[in-house]
Amino acid sequence: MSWSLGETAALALKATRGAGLSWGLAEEAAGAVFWLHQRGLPGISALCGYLESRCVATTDDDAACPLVLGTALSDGTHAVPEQVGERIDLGTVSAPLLLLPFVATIPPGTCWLTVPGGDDAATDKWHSGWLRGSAPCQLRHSTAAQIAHTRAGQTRLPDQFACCVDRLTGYAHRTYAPATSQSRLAGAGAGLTDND
Amino acid sequence: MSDGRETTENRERARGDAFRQAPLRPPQTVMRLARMGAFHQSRLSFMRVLLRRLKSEGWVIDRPVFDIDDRGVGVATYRARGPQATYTLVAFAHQLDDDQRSDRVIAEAWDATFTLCDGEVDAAQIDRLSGNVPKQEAGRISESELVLSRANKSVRLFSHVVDQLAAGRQPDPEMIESVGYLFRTTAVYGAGKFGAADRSQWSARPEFTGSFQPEMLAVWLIRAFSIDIVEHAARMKSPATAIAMDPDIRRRLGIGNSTGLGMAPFLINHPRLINSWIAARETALARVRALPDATMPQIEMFRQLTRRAAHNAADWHVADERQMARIERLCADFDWIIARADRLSPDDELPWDALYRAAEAALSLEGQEALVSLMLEPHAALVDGLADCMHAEEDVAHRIDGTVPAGDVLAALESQYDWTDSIDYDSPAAQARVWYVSEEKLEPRLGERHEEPLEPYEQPLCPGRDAVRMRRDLASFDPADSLGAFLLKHPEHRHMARRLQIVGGLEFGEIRDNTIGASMIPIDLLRCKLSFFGATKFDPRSDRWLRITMYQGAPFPDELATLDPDDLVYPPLDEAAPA
Repeated sequence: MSWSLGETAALALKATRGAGLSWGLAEEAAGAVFWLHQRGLPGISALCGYLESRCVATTDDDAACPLVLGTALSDGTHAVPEQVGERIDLGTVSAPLLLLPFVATIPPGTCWLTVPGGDDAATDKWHSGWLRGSAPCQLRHSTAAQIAHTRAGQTRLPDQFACCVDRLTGYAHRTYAPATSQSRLAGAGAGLTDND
Repeated sequence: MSDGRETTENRERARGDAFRQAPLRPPQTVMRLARMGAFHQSRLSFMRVLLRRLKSEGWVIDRPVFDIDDRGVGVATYRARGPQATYTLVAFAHQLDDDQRSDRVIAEAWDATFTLCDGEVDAAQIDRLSGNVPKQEAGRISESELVLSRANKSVRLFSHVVDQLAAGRQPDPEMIESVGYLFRTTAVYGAGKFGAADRSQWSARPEFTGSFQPEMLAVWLIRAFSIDIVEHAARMKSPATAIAMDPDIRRRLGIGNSTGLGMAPFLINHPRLINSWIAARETALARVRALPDATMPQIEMFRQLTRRAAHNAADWHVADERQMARIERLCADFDWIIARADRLSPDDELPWDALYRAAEAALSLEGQEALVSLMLEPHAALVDGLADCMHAEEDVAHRIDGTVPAGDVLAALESQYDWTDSIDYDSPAAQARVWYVSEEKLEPRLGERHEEPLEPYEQPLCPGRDAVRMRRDLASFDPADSLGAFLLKHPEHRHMARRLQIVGGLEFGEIRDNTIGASMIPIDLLRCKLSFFGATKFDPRSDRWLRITMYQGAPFPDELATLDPDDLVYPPLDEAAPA
């Protein structure tokens, strides 16, 4: 059974927090995953890949966090290309697909995110680096949006992402406090009968 | 001219409406937990908004399926057809042992489970739902469904009503009044939960303008089911003698609801929405206070309703000592309100403003807020249109403007959160509590920070404390540098920075109280939200959960065409004790 995008974003929020990022960055992750799936792009896979690379030692330790870099771009603290054709190197970034929603906010909305192998997101030809692992990324100023607004019509997370839902649920679990005897006693309504 | 801010006035201007109004009560008066925890239902409550709309648009309700066996197990459907759309409640009736009956979120079985479907349903859809809806959180619904809910019987009242109807007698009205419902819901999930359609998929439909309209429709239809199932049980028990319930007695049955801490964070997590609700109610009050005089029909309606509301208050009994003391004070406040109502005259100048000002000095918060709701009643033309403003688009990742100079952000924090100046967050009592989600229940809980190892799991539900922390770090940051640069250094403040920019344009978006202090009473948060739903008979069962009644007195589907739902909220005067 498919998932609503609202619950997908709520799961992304909790999972990102569970993986150790701040609540504010977790909100960015939720927004990014929502944005990507609205456009039929596998944001939840990318987030899954990123959180795993954060939480498990990999060879990509030097790769930038797509959420920290993405917010630097949307907050205006990172340089962006200002002339058509101009390019800026972003260095190596984990799960670069997660950068796309942030790049889309850069005025005037025609900045493109590119990785070696082509402008994959625009053509749906996935490079593994977009989802898992990392890739050297560039920003390029273009004349049209990389992801057309008309693509934002998806309303559901398809069944094929059930595995990602399970993995993110595991990270989300880390935000839940183990029960203590005191918290059980203080629970909402313990000890009262509901057979009245 | 509109100044572009997100105010109710500007929204109404955009629609071409303009009404004279007094100044709004300031947020430092309204947005206090003690006052919010004293709110009462009003003309703007979502149940009343729904029934007004269903009535004015001539919605037709029927029951295409009622396939319930002699044990009370089976399925029924309730179809609501309006001018543009059809919705169907699918109700599954179950047999539940007493030892499984729990109102708590950890329950795994219920007396009845429900889903509200978009459109008509066929046998295949009912079959799919029968494998999921009875499991509630452990099942999945689809984007063809809008609401998921479940309810348990009030065993005592249900048995009484079955026995009486089966024997050909009406149930005891006093017993009906003392419980108020045959079923109480223990959760009503909507807006994308457990696979349901996201709010964005239906929020533009005219019948769902406002807030929580699908949920309110589901609960109203559940109420109809609660009567059908009890009458069915009586017929099964004694087919030869069983009778249907008298409509006047039946109408005193609402639907109960048990609500705990799961609902508490909502008011903090949805500042735009809360702003839209409170601003609408405050605008309504300001319009009524600006009226230069009162007509005799308005005065007479007000006098009648104050007596009926007083009767309602006198019938409000709870075990909770704090609330019972407040109710006793409210009853005394009603004596004052009735006496003032009797002195109102068409010759008075600014009569409603004078009444409200006098009440501020004379009445408890319960009394003041009950009066506010009552003052709106005779003024449908001024008030009811505001219901269309009671919604908001919330965005968890609302884009932060990172270019603002850090010095300006600090100034904004100092002015918007000036109320935190009176709270010493370094004192243990000011941070005594911690909001967290328990692994065992997967629900928001409130723990003791200094007694349990809960801090690592803290949820961001304490804007006052977080604003103070951000101020401290901003104070040592270059004021000419940007907010974005500050957040690169301090990602832990990103949540608060976003919140600051969201609530900056909202008069009533932030609760001006410490939500983690030792003296905070969580049910104040619950009551505020539930009053906007239209709930009555708030019955605190502890400081962190309560029971309420919904739709008590409201018309049933077969009465909607002939009765006025707005006139039925308070009990009729002929039953009322003499004032």
